[in-house]
Amino acid sequence: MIFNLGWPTVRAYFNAMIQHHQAASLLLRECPFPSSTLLAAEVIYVGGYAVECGLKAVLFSKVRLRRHKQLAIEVKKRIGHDLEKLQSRLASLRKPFLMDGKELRAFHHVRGSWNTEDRYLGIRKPSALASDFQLAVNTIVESLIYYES
Amino acid sequence: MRAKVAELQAEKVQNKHTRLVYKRFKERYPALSDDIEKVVYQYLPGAIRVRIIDSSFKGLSYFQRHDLVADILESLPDYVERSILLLLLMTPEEANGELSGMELEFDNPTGEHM
Repeated sequence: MIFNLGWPTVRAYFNAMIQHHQAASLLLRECPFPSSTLLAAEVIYVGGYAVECGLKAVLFSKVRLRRHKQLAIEVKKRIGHDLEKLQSRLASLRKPFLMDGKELRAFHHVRGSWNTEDRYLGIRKPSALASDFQLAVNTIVESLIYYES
Repeated sequence: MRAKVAELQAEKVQNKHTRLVYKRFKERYPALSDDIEKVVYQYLPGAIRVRIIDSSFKGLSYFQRHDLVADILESLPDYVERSILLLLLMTPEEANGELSGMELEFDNPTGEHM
């Protein structure tokens, strides 16, 4: 497993990834097909956080514990919710974490569809889009959990 | 170093990698804008953004759209392929519709529309 769950920040982000992933899955079950709904938009909104938290758990797993305080400041100030900055930071590590194949394809989907500002816009989204998005989230979350480092 | 990163965030950087990406997509989609910045640029070191607008994407899911361009991505050097972190695949109707956060962010790479 890529996660060092003995470290508190990693554990917190890992648990948040699982929690958001499960919440998005439950919400998706309630989405009426083929309608466009706010609930489907919520699936995407919550599911995106699962990916963000998972990648942040990876980042903290790959940086020494004594540097976590500094890294937490960097994550808050420089990365925020920007998945590209997060993945770019993971790629810059001495032992980089890179995605390819189906994980990268899923990342493209998540990155292009997820926007934390959407929560203010109240835009209804098709259930099919939410279902597709959740597939992408599943792919990334599963690949992180079963990643062989 | 931090100042340099901040500069990059606001700029649409072009280099040999972005030009190669543009060339490959332009071969497949000749109607793409002649302005490379509307199609591809480097957002951060190791982070390239691509936006392809074409009517062939109509009625397809994102994964189906991605399958249509998979061979182009695979034809790129590994480093370049892995550096593409944002790949918007849109129909002209979607591109001309109500601006989404991602559309705003692509045109104005400030990192604020997240």
